[in-house]
Amino acid sequence: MARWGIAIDLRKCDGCGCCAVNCSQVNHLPPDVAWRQIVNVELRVGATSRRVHLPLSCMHCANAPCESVCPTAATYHRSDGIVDIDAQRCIGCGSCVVACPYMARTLLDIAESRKLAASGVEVPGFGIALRQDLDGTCTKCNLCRPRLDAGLAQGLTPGVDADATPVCVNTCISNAIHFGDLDDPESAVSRVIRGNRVSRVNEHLGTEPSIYYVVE
Amino acid sequence: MVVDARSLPPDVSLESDICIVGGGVAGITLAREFLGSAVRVCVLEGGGRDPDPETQSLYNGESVGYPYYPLDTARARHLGGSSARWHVPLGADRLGARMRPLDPIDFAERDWVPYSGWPFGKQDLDPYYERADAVCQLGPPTYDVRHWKNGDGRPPLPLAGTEVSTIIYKFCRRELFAREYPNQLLEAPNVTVCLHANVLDIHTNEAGDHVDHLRVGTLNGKRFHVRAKVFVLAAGGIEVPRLLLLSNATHAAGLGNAYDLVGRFFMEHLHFWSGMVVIEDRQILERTALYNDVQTVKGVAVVGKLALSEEVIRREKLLNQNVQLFPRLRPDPFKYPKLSTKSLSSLKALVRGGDPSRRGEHLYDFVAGLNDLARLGFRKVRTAVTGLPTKPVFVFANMSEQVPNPQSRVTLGRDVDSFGQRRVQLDWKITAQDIRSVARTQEIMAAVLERIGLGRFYRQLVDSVPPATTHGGYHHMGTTRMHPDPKRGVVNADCRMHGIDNLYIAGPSVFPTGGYANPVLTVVALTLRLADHLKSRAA
Repeated sequence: MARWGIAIDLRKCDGCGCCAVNCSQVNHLPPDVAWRQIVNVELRVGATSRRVHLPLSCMHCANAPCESVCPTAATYHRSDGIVDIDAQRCIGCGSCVVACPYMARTLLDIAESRKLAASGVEVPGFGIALRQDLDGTCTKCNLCRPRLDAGLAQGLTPGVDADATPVCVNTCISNAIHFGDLDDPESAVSRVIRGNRVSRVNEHLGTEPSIYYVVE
Repeated sequence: MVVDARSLPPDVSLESDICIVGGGVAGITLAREFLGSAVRVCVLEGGGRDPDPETQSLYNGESVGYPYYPLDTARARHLGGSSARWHVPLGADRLGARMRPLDPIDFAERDWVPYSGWPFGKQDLDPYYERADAVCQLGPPTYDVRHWKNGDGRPPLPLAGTEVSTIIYKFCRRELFAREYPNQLLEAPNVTVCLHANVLDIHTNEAGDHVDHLRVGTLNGKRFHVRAKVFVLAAGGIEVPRLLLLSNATHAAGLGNAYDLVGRFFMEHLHFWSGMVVIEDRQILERTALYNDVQTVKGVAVVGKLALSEEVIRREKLLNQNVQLFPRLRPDPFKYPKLSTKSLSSLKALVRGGDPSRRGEHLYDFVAGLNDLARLGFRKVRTAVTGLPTKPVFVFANMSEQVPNPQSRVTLGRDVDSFGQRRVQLDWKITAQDIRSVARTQEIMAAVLERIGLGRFYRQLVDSVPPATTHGGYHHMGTTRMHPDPKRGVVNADCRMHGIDNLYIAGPSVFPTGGYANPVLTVVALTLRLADHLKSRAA
């Protein structure tokens, strides 16, 4: 069984935000919800400056704090490492939002969007925003789980075949994002991690994120 | 073919027929026009195939005027340029950017717009707009709303015969200029794309009327020269004037800057959210889908916006502007005042005892707004009792032209970059005329939208103060403007630098005025026109 992970090359990311925009488009997220955010900071040393862009989303941690605090087991670990949410079990308590050290989770407030649609205004693409069953539940990056599963069922290789690969990976025009099986030493993501100096966010918390950042 | 300048032998001298500085939309468009020909083209791109932080940091600069994006995030220094950042969702998993030609009035000299007037009219550029449509793969070269109405056949808003019309934007895919066209250049035998090649300055002959060579450097310390018969600067509206100002070996004030025009007249398109229409007629509402979001019509991504007719613009002496309608359920109370704020706040002032000198004004406002107060009260009671949704609103997303202003400018700052060269300094100005024009445009549009029954407009602009949400669109225009007179422009009608026989500029820096349309399609059209000029010059 694969263990999915991502490596983001910070030497190539220029913070364009296209990965975040396309993620929201493809996953039909409401306007005020994003599964990815880009943080940027300018580092100045004397007259020299350099800007670092950090794409942040769910880290799909091996030791996920969100999973341990969930009172209904709505947040759970798949055998392939993806941390997912069972919306039918989620009661919207928000404990996971507080527990997550990566600000990766949001509680959906769909009432506004449904009222807007009920008023007769058409907003193409408001898919998830109109699903009453998701109102009040938690949402976050799921590594494009439906796309991944559908691609695997067709015999495609995630991280290689675009139709089985997360949208953010395909969208990055700089090829800064790599996806694949962390337990396969020959996968693209494993080779990138092995061949470069990498780091993970808040590693000291012991969360064991599956998202790696190439720093050198 | 592709060359990495970092691996060139020291002190090499490259030669070509045409040397293009900048591998963005303009540079790529120009180079493509010579594919398969006998003309040797060299494209000098300061970055690589993909972005890298050290190269991108060369774009760092200082903004000292109206708040603007950090200058190293407002531009992209790699092959493909800012096209890699086009991020308007087009449906499915596509991203792109808005495309539309300028309007005829944008080219005209208007006595209420100082420094307005292009050296040619739109009709002269129309053949190139048609070709630009094909280059950008925009489908049929028409922007007539009758061709692009709602994908399901529903007509747009009934604006015929009014002062307002529906305008159409089409969208160009991001991958076209970010990947597909650059790949063509990399494979072309007569085109040399030199990556990581940063042009440091431009050297002319002693008389200063002919460019002899460019001095180019890499971040790993290489220095070399590039010679050509013709040079074209296509590095964007902020970097082109910077390069000219840095090239001061022959002219102390900078190349082409004898009359202190290089860098002046920096224009953006003002973007801000201000004003809303409270929807009242559902039948009219059903015709607004074209304006709310990108639609795919006949295989092309389009969106509709609102704009004033040329007749009204001339009559009212306005700048050009468009408005997109964005649906919201109710206004954000932190951003927009309650609908009856004036009446309610006046009542509060009267009850609590405000400024005695304004009691008469408060009493007038309270009485004049009683209808709004009653409506607000009714809606609150209705919502509390029935739980019915409140009315939807359309928020105005305004995008407008700026008046050319010589005080809005790009200059050289005090900090230096990794090459020891002075970084850029941007002093962006917004004038009262810019905002007053938007306010009057909104009034006219509001009256029309009310007349056709869409709803009632609520103004949020205060006097001529730019709203706090005001921002640019990454459209850097006007800094090496076009004019036949060298005392009033940096380039002539052929986009050739005044006084220099082999130096041209391609890009939005040559725009004398900006209109409201995103500049890319006009940049492509002007570049195609320049390519034809260079071909006839060579012949």
